[in-house]
Amino acid sequence: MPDFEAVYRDHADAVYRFCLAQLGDQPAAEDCAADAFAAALAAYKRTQPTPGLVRSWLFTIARNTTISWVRRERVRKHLVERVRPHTDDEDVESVAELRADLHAALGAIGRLPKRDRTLIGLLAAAGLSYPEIASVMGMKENAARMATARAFARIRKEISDHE
Amino acid sequence: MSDPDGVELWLTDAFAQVEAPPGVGAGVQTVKSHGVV
Repeated sequence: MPDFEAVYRDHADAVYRFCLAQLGDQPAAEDCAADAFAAALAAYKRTQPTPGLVRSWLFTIARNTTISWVRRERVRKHLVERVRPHTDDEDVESVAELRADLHAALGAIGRLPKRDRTLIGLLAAAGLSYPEIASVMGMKENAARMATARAFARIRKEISDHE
Repeated sequence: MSDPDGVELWLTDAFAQVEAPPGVGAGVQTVKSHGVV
């Protein structure tokens, strides 16, 4: 079992990219990825993932962390909006430094249903293989391939509709 | 998607140069400093 420092070093960029694809916001993705690594470290010795399974194990945790994060944010935003008028200032600031292509990619991904967003995040943002995606999503490899193909078909339509 | 098309390549390229900011490691440091591992 590799040292967790090596797991972090090898996968920090990919986990952050996946969180960014799910949340569309850099500060939120940074915090969410930190939460995912904290949860992974806490479980690492207990679960002892083999080197060949460490990515699917880690991204299962990352996926669950983003789901919890989105739920918490929905509650937090609802509470905040009850006490002050909504402003987009923070959102504008958070995307101001994004490269134009990444900004456009996040916009297109963000308009997809949650499952499509997850599949595209695992494949295009995090670089997982189909067997790894299947493991994270709890489906067979062929089903993961078909679901991902459908997600890409939807994002193609999303992009062409916005042109 | 064994034959990636333009959209898949575009999305892959858009994320390829994104690096994790230092704060991503904060979670690991927090857990370690609390003696969980």
